[in-house]
Amino acid sequence: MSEEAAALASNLPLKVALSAATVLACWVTLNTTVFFLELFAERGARYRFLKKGIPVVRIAVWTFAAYIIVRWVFDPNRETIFAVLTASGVAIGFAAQDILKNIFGGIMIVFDRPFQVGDKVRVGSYYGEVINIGLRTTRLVTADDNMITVPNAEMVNTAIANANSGALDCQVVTPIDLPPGADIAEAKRIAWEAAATSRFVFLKKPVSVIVEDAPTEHEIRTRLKIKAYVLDTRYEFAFQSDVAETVKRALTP
Amino acid sequence: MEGLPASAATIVQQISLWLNGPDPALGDAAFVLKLALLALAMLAGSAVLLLLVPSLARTISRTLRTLSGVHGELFVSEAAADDLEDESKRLEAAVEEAQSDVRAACISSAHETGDRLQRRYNDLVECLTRQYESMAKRCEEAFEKNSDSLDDWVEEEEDNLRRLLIDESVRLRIDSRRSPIDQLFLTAVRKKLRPLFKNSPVEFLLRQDLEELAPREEDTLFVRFMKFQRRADFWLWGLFGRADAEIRLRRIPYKEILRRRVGEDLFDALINKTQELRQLPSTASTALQDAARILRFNLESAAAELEEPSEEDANGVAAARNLLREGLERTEGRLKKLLGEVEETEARFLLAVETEAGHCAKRIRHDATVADTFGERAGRIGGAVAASWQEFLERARLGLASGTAWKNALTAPITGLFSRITLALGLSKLEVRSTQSQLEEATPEFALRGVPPLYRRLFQFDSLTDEDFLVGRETELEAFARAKQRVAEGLSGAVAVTGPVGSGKTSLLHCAVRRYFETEALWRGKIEKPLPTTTDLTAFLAQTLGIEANNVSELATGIRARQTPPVIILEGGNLMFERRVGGFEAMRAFLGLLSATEGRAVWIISFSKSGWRYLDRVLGLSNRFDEIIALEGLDRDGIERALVERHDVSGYQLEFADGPDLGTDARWRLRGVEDPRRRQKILRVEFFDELHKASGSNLHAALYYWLRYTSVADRKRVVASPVQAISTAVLGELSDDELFTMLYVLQHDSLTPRQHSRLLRTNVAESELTLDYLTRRRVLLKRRASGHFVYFPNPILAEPSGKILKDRNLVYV
Repeated sequence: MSEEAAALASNLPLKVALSAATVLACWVTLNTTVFFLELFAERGARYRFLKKGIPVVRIAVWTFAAYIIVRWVFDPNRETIFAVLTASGVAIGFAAQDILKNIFGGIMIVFDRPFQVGDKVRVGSYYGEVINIGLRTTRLVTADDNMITVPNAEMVNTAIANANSGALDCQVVTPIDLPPGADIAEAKRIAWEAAATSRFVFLKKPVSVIVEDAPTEHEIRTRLKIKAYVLDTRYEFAFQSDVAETVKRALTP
Repeated sequence: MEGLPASAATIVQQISLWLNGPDPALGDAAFVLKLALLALAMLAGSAVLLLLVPSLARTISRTLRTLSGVHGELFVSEAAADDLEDESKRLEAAVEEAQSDVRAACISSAHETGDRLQRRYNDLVECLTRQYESMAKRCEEAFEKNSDSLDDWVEEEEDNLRRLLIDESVRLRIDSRRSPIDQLFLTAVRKKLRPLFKNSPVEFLLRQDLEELAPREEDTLFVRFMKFQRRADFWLWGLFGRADAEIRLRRIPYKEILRRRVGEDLFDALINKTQELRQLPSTASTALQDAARILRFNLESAAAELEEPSEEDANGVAAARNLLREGLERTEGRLKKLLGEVEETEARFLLAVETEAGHCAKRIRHDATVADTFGERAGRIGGAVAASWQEFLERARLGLASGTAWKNALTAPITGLFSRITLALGLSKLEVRSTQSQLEEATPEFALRGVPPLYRRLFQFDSLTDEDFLVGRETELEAFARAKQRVAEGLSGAVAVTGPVGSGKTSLLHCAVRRYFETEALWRGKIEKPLPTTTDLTAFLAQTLGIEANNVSELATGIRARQTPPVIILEGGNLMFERRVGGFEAMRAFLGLLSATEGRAVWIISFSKSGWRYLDRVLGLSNRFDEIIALEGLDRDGIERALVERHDVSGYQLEFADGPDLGTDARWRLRGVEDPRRRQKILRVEFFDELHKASGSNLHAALYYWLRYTSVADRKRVVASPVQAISTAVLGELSDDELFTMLYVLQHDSLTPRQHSRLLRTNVAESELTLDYLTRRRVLLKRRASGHFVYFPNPILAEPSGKILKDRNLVYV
């Protein structure tokens, strides 16, 4: 025991240095890979799917780093492993269970894939584009450019609405309240053409216009709901605004 | 470890010791580093060994093939073999006779055929050359006099001579059909070889003793193999009571050998070799027609110069005189080339026949020898197998010992991966070199600068009117005939022609008119400005069709009132809509007109590809047309044919120059290509591969690259240099607004700033700025029409622009 302890102690600085070097090498590799993936993905909307691979790469690289350090650098014997696991179990049980919950949540998100990087999701009261799925948190950017950081444990336990589920296009619903006495048939035609001629429209999927009542305090108004698909989720709000503007211009005498 | 041979076990032990050996400086990390080093070495070793796999497979296959030739031996008894002693001498004599007969028959018939060829074509070319010389003389005299209406005179002379050429070309084809020269040759050879077949014995029987293997004792492997085989055979035949001594009976089917080697192989080979001879009249006839076309284009150009001198060359007579003289020279040159081709064909034919006769003689000897001498055959087979394996071992040894092979095995995958990444990221040298100036040159006008008048006429970017130059569009043309037939049967016949800019929609329409509708009641119109409303459309159609009408139903009535169904061709269907609310009015009215005149008119409308795709999604256009001709770009061979056919008419000889990186003879030698003609062939393939890749199958772009990378070297030659594609990486930086503008221009065929501002809801000044920016980038081009600028897509950059729109998902299939 004393010889082993002495040997360990004699090599300890080198082992720590090697572990640090491994972590550094993995960090550089990971960031380079992520950088290239993002660079490719941003070359065109068609390549954006590459971003979906980033969380998987991240988990794979860190798992590999942990394995290298434990197996090749420290190479502990069975007793040591049990000792460390027990100590970790106690520590985690008392102090780090939240962190662990989030990490497992992140792993579940990566493999279960309820949403992916680039999707438009609604979590609670927040709606935005997923820009990063990390080991601990998931980040969204909302329409007004706020970054929302949600712990992965919460992402796993909350109902999430996903607007596009990995596709580039998503449906956009634009409600338009018609002025009293407006010709509904003409308004429907204008609404349909406004969506079909918008520069942002994705015409491989149908454009439809629904008429419904919209009761207010004083009267029942007619509301048109224009349902159309946008060619890139990033143009979602621009598309909504474009359609609304076109309809209002056309309806205004 | 225990199961391994001692040497392998030692190696494994050594490696294990080396891996686990202590290293004070690195401690445990040394093990990881050593393991990585070992893995790298194993990787390189595997790569080098993989390189040897094809060689090993080839050697094994050769061995198996060689060994499979040893079969079919028989044994006879001592008594039965006594009579077979003299057979081998008789076989030798017969083989020698057959060899000399075959050689003599082939060579004498080939010489007779060659003489006949020479006589035929020399007479023809001499006669035509005399005519040219006399015409050239008459022309010189006429120009000296400088008389009036020279242009008419030139055209008349050209007409006479051209007719003579075409008559000769037809006569040549008829002659060759009546007495095909290849058939005469083959008949002559058959006739001369008939006695050989008639008088030859059917077979020879030879004996073969076991003792004959004795002199081959040094070929251990084969002697062992043959002895084993003989023992097995003897045992087998002994079982059947067919052998009582180890004497092999060799049955030589001599007549069968002759039938196979002369009757089949030789004649098959000769038929192949005479293929070129058979095609010669057709080649010559085409050459004469080429000469006629060269003459026509050159002298028509000369006559055109006399009639309307170009701005560049005010002295029309001198220019015409030069053009005429050069044209005659080129035509004469084409005829001389024909004579050269005939001589070359003849020489190739003679050589081929001589070679084939030699091969046939060798094969007869070979068959007889193989059947005759068992020992030699055994030695040869053994030698072949041993040589194959020796060659393989030598190659393996060299491969494993060569530092370069190891280096390549390690570096090639890494450099390949690196270059792919840099190319994909747009960081390669070609992309880095990309500059705005390269793009600025991407206009038809730039390409046509400094091009000789004749070449300019041939390679103009305007639509074609001559069907001769329309390549690869036969299937598409048939659609017009079907539509015509449907209308004749009282059914609807609406044809939509769609395709990207520069794909040849207008050319196709011209050729369709010339082929199918020249005698019909034809109304043809080109929509030049947008017609978004029904009123605009009615006014335009009423004017084009010459019908007095105030609305679409009156137009329909006017069309239906015609006795014979008219053919109505409209170019620019995209201009019948605008992508805005209320912009589909005219298109909907037009679709109503199509329905109202069903079976009473052939409608042919052309649309740009993007516009058609949009309208099809929004208004379901494809359901309203009976024939949809979707023009796509030409494939690589189509592009080559389209360009070379135009070039051939010029009469210039086409040569291909080396690229700057392959200029030296040493490089060619490194590639193992020494023959200049083969080099030209390789350069030609490389040139058109590059051109096709750069042009993205677009004919306009292909014309641009052709004009950019060919130059008239002298009065007879045009030299094509390697093509370098214009770098369009800079287009990837275009903003969303600019990309949407590109999309709108493609969908509408053209846009004015006012239209742009209306469709994209910007102000006119902003629209002008955006459109001008795209024009500077050469994505768009502009022209002035009715006092304002109209912007339209640049066909040369149509392909890269389309790709960028696809990448951004603005265009989707």
